[in-house]
Amino acid sequence: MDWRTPADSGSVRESVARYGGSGLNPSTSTDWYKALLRKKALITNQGVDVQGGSDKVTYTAGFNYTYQNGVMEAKNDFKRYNIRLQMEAKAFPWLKLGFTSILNNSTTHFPNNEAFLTAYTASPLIPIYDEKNVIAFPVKFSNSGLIGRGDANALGQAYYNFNRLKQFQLLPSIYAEADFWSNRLTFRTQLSQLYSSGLRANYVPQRNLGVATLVSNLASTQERTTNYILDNLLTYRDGIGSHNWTVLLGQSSRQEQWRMTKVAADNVPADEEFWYTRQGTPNASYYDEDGYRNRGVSFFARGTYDFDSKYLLTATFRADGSSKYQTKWGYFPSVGLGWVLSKENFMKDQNTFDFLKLRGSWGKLGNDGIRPNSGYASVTVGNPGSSIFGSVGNANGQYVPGYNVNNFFANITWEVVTEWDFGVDFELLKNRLKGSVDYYNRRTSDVALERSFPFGAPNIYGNWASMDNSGVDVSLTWNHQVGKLGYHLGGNLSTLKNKVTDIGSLLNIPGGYPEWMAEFPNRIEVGRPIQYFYGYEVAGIYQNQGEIDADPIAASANAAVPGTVQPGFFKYRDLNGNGTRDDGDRTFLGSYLPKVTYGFNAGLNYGNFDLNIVFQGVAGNKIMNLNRGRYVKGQSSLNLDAEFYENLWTGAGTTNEYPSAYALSKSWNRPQGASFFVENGAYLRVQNVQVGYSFKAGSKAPVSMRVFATADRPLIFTKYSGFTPEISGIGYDSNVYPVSATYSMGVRATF
Amino acid sequence: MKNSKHKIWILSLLTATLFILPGCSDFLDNPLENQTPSVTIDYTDMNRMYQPVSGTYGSLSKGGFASWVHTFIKTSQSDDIDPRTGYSEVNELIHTYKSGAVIKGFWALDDMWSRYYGTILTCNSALTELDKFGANIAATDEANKKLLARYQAEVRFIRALTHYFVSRSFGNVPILGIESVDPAYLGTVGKSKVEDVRKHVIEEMDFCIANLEDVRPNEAAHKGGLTKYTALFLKAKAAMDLAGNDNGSVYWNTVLESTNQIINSNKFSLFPDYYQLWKKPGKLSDESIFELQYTDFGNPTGDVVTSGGQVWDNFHLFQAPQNTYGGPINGDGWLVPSDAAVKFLKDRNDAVRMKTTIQLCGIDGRPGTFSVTPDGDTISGNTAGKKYFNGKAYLPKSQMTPGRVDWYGANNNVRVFRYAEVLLMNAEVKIRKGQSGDIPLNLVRQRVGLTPLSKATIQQLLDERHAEFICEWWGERFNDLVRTDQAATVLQGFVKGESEFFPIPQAQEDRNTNLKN
Repeated sequence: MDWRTPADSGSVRESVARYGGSGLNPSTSTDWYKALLRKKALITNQGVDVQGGSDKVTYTAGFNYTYQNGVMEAKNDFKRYNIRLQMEAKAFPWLKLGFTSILNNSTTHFPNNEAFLTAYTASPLIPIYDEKNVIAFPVKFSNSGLIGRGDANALGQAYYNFNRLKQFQLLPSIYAEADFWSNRLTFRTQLSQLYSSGLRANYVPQRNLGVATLVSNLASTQERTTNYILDNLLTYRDGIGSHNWTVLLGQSSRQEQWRMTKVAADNVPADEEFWYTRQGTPNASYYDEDGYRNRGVSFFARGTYDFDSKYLLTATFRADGSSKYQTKWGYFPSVGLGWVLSKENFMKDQNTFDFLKLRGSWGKLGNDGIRPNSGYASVTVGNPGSSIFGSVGNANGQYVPGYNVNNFFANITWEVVTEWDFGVDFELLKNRLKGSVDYYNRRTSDVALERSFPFGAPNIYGNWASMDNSGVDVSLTWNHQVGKLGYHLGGNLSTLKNKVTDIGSLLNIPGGYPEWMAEFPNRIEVGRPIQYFYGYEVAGIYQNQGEIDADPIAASANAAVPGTVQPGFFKYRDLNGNGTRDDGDRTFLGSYLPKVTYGFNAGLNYGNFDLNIVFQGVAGNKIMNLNRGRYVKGQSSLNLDAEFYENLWTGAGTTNEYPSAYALSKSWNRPQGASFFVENGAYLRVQNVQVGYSFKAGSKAPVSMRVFATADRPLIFTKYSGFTPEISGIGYDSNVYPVSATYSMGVRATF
Repeated sequence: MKNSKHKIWILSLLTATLFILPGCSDFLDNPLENQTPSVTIDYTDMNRMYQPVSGTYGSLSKGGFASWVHTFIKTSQSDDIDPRTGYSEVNELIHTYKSGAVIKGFWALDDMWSRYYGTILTCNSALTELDKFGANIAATDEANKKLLARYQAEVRFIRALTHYFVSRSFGNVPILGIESVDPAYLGTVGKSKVEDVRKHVIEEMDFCIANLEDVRPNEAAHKGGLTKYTALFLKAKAAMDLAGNDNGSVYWNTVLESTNQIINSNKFSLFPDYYQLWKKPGKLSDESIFELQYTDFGNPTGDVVTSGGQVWDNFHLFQAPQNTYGGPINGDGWLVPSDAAVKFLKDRNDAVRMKTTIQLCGIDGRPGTFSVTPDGDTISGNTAGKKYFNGKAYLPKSQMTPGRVDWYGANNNVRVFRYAEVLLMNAEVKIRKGQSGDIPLNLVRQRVGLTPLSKATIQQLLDERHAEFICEWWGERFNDLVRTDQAATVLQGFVKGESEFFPIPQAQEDRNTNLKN
C-alpha cells in the first residue's frame, strides 16, 4: 500500500526512519493541541468592600485581586489588583461634591497565539522533541525540515516567547451637583478621566530549532492613553396638579488620545535587567510610533411631559460633533408617545391586566463608532516609500528617499439610523406575568464601510450603502412564590430582517475577509442582506463516472481538460443552465446576520437555597468556515477537523456531502466561494448556571454569608463544525483558539 | 438672602461655562493623527523632486514584479520548469495552458493583475506629483526643467513596462493614464487591444529615449536607475511582439534601429562569467539593462529589502531546495527545472549554462542522499523527489552577508533585462531580413564557451534564446513560442487562439463590468 502521492508516502517513510515505526506505519502521532493546552487553568478572585460615612460625608472603598492562568502550556497568565474609592460630601445643603477613583494594576503574559494555528495545521508525523536534533538548543525541539517538511514546531513557538504587558490605569472622576429653586433646578457637572500606561516587553531568546542559530530579539512598546469626558447637565422639574414636566439641557465634550512607541533590537542579553535596546544592535527600521486623537462635542435637550402618568410625551434633540468625520456635525431629533391604558376609567372594571401601556416613537441617531477618516490624500514617506539604488557588484545598495501619495479617499459623514418603534408593555395575573412586544424598523443611511476597487487600487472607506433592519422584540417574565418555594422564568426574542436599500449607481460591492477576499467573497447588493456570502452552490458529490458524464458542466470541463472532474468531486449547480461552470452560476449563499436572537432564564429558591440558569442562542445565520477552506489556500501542511476527515468520500455511496481527500488537491474543488464552506451558525448556549446558599452566621452581630458555585458557558448545542459558532465581525471564522468553560466557587460575607 | 444671591451668581456662571467652554470652534478640526496630508509636501524644494520617482521604483521592486506569485505564474507557462507549487491551479492548469472559466477565479491571477495595476496607479500618482514640482520651476530654469522631464521619463517607463507585461499575460487590457487617479474612472474604463497596448509602449519609449540619461544603468545618477538604453530595449521588445512571425513587418525596422543604437553606444558588454552573473559579483554589471535592486545593507540582522514582504515569499527562498542541511539554503522548492530543460542543455553540450542553471538536490532527489554545489554548499534530496533547483536563483552561502542566517538571497538583485538579449534581438532581426546575424549571436555563444555558428538559421537563433534565458522568470520562452507560432507544437496542451492569454480575473470583472467586453 502507498499513500496517494509519492510526497505523502515519502513523509511517512521519513518519519519512520527518523522517529520509529515500520514500513508505512509511523510510531509518531503527535496531538499538538493536547500538548499545547493546560488541562485546567486556575482563576482566583478576592475582594473586599467597605462602606461608611456621616451626615455630611459618605464613602465606599474596595479592593479586588484577580489571578487567571492562561490555557496555553507556556508563560501565560493574568494578574490584576484594583482599588476603588468613592466619596461624596455635602458642602452646603444645596451642594454636593463627589470624587471617585479607580486604580487598576495588571501584569499579563500573553501566549504566542500563532502556536495554535501551527497546531491546527501541523503534521502529526513529527514529535515534539528530538534528542537527535543535535544542533537544537537550549531545548531539543524537533525540526520537521529534517524529514523534509515545512511545519513549524508549535511547542517551540509557544516556548520561545515572552510577551509581558504591565499596565496601570487610573480613572479619577469629580463632580458637583447643585440644587436651586426648591430642587426644581439641578445643575450637575462631571469630569471623568482615564490615564492608562502600558509597557510591553516581547523577548525571544537566542535559540536554534535545528536549522541555524537565531539571535535574540527584544521589542519594547510603551503605550499611553489619556481620555476625558466633561458633562454638564441642567435639569428643570416641575408640575401643576396632574401636569408634570421636565426639561433637561446638556453638553458633553470628550477626547480620546492614544500614543504608542516601539523600539526593537537584536542580540539583547537574556537577563531581564538588560532588556534595553541599547544593550543590543538596534536598527532604525525597528522603530515605530503611532497614535490617535479623537474629539467629540454634543449638545442635547430633552423635554418630557405627562398628564397623571397616563399620557406621556418625550421629545429630544441632539447635535453631535465629531473630529473623526469630514462632515463634523449631525442633528438628531426624536419623539416618543405613551398611553397607560390601565389607568383609564374604562379599564377599571377588568382584572386581566394589572398594567397596560401603548408606546410609539420615532427618532434619529448618529453612530459615533465608525472609524476616523482622513479625508485627504496621504503620503507614505521613509523606507516603505523609498527604493534601493547602488546595489552594484559587492556594494550594498542604499535607500534613496522617496514617497508615495495615496489619492484614493472619500469624505465621511455621520452614519444615521432612523427608527420607528411601536410597542406594548403589560402585566397580567397579579403582576406575575410581565412582558412587552415591539415592532421596530431602523433605516441606516450612509453606512460607512470599506469598498474595494478594481486594478489593485486601495480600498476606500466611505458612506457607501443604506439598509433597513426590521423585526419584532418580545420579552416575557413570570414570577411566582408558593410558600417557601419561589421561582421565575424569563425569555426574550428578537427577529431581524436586514435588507440593503441603496448603493448608489453600483450593481454591487464585492468584498470579503482580508487575505481571503478572492477565495471566499461576499457582496453588498440592493434587496439582499448586507455582505452576504457569494459563490457556487454545491449540490452534492459525484458518486461515479456515470453521474459525471451525465452532467453537462462536468462533461464540458472534462472535455476541455481530461480528468478535471472525477468521482468524489463537488457537483455544482449550473444556475444559468449554460452547460459550463462559470461566473453566472454564483449566487446568494446566506447571511452572517442571525434572523432570530433569543435568551431565556429560569431560577428557583427554596429557603436559603437558590438556583439560576441562563440560556442564550441565535438562529438563521451562516458562518463561512475558513478553517475548512484552508485547503483552498494551498498550504503544504493541512489538517481537517474530525467530522470532515471521518466523513471524507471514499467510494460510491459513502457520502454526498464531503469530497474525497484527493479532491482537495484538485482545482475543480477549489472554487471562488462555495456553499460547502458555508455552515449553519445556529446555537443554543448554557451561558451560566449558579447554585447558592445564603445564611447568617453568629447571633450577636450576624454576618450575612453566601456560598455559591458557578459554571460559565459550560455547554453549547450547535451543528457548526468549528471551535465555536460565536464569531465576531462579518461571519468569517478563522479562529483556531480553543474554547474554555469556567467553573467557580465563591464565598461572600457582608458585615 | 445672602445665600440665594450666591446661588444665582453660581448658577449664571455654570450656565455660561456650559455654552462657552466648548465654544472654541477648532476643537473638532484636528486632522487624522500620524497620516501626513500630501499638501504638506514642499513642491518648491527641487531637492525633493526625485522622491516620487524613488517611490515608484519601490512599488515595482517590492510591489509584485518579482513577487513569488508573478514569478510562479510566468515561469509555469513554459516547458523549462516543472511547477511544484502548492496550487493545483498552477501545476495542473497554467502549466497545461488551460484558460477560460477554470482559472478565472484563481486568486493568484487576481493578485498579479492587482499588483501590476497597483504599480501603474502609483506611477500616475507620481506623475501628478511631478507636475506639482514642475509648476514651481521658473521658466528660465533649464536645468530643473530637464531634470523634470528625465524624472517623468523614469516614471513613464515603469508605467509602460507594467502595461507591457500585464498585456502579455492578459491580452486586451485597459491603458491607465493620469486620469486614473479618479476611482470612479476605474470602475468603468474599457480595454484596449493588445496591439494598441504595444504601440502605446513604443510611443511612451520615444519620450523616455529623448529624456533619460545617456549612460549605462550602473553609471546613472541614481545607480541602477533607468536610462535611455533601458527604454530602447523595451521599445525593441514591444516592436518584436508586434512583428510576430512576419518577416516583412515594419516593426522589425524598429527592433533593428533600437538594438543597433544600444550596441553602437559601445557602453555594454557581456559579463564574462555566466555562472557569477547571477550571483553577487554580477549585480548591475555592464551587461545589465534593467535590474530590481535589493540589499541587506551588509548587516547580519536588521532591515532587509527583498522582493517579498516575508521571509518565505522572497524571490530566492521559495525557489530554494528543500534542504535538510539547513539554512539559509532551505526553501520550498516550488519551481523545479524540468527534465526537458536538462535534456535540452545536455543535448547541446551547453556545459556552462547547465552548471549555472541546473543545481542538483542530492542524487536524483532521493531523500537521504546529498550533492554539493560548485560553491561547496551541501544539498540534500527530498521527500517529494525533486531532482533539481534553479541555479539562477541560487546564492552560495559564502556570498551571503557574514552572520546572516535568514532571508536567503538577501543582498542579491533580480536580473530583468540583459545586454545578451539585445544581441540576440539584433541577430534575430538580421536573420529575418536575410542578413547575417552571426556576429551578435556568436558573442552570446562564446561567453558560455560554445563554438561560433556561421550563417545561423532562425531556429538556431531561437534555440540560443531558449538556452540563454532558460529557467528565467519573465515568460520569454512562452512568448517566443507564441510569437513564432510554435507554441501549439512544442507546449503540451497549448491550443492556438485559446491559450495565449489568461482570462481577466473574476474579481476584476465583478468590480468593472466593462472588462467583460
